[in-house]
Amino acid sequence: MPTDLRLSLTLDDIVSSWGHHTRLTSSRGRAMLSELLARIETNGWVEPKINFKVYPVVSSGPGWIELPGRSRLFSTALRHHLPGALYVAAGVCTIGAALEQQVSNWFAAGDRLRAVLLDEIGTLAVFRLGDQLEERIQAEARERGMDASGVLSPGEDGFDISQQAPILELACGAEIGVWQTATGMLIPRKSVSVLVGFGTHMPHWSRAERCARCGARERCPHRRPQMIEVAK
Amino acid sequence: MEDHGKQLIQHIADMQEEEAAKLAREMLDSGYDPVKLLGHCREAMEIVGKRYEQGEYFLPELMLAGEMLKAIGDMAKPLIPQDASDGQAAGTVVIGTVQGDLHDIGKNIVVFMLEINGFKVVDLGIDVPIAKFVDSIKEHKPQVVGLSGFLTLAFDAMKKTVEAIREAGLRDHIKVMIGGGQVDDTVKIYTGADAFGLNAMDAVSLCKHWVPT
Repeated sequence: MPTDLRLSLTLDDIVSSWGHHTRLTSSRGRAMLSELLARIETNGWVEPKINFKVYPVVSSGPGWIELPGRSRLFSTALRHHLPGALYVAAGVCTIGAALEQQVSNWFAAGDRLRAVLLDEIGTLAVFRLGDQLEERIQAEARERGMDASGVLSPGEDGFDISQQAPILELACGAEIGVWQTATGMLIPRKSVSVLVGFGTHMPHWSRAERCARCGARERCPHRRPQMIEVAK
Repeated sequence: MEDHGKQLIQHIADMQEEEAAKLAREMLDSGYDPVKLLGHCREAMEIVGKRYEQGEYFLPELMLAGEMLKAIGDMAKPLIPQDASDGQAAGTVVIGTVQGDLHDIGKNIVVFMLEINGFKVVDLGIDVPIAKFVDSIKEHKPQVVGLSGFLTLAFDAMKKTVEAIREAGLRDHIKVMIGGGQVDDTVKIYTGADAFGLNAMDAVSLCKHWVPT
């Protein structure tokens, strides 16, 4: 489990993620954001943790791959997105539960604007941490002399949420305090699980491309291209 | 004074919080009709809602506008004569995130937006058992029930909740709206809801449509 994670966000990161036209940032919101960033630092509300494990692909077929121990992953996305993968990396990252607990506390206390702003910061933080997870998995693939594919996450189109449990288990999510509910929801909520294929000439795609093919794109509050760029 | 009204609308719609609060205070201090002033606030909120729907504003702006509206409302309401304000809510909404789902941000935002639009909201929280919805409907007699769920698996819980409401003989008296995640017309039909909303402003529009103020 990597312990050298650094995750820092600045006021400009947050403002940029909303686009430069936003008017909130010229008023009380800007001061509140600065205050929140300072409180995150002081109170340790963001505790970034990542974990990933690499497994050889024992066999594969249309819509499934088999890993050691006869464990199988099923997804129509596998054939298209991880063709010819020799290994897969199952990974998970989280910023911990403290931030979302504070968001809930503020909502309960009626401090809604502060709650929403902190939640927005948390979302951007987990985006950035997800990028670090992907970078470390890519580095692992390079060390093994292979290419890494792009990232697949359970719940995305073609990769059913039912695969959350096996991915989380393969990634040893429990080692960093991540678990899932019976309905496949990750706890802490600001967590992301991923599957990446290793091989030769693996297809790669960016977060922007993942967003572009996401079925929820039209209604997603995080569809802002600026946020995607900032997360990079 | 009419110019002041327009200016107030512009300040709120443009997220100029301090200017809006200062102008509202000045208007009230100089005898401006508080009911009329709240009308300007609602007009401004409609502009904010449109900007939100068009993608110009995002959640923080929506929440800030809501806070401005609440702050100005707190200034104006004590000045409204009792007979002009009978203290009645526009309507009652029972809302919660359905069983098996722990997402609460979207639901909390809907609660806030409904409250500042004059609705009494009974917030049942997250991971709400079906029986709790039924009991709450019996207790509070709402006009609208809101079922929130981000996960696709929440759709089954929504469907079971609507079925339980029907089995309890309560379905004909209420409207059911669903929201969160991937809801669409197909999910609305699957769950047996009356309508779905893609965001907090949709929820407000639905409630206003069903419970005219």
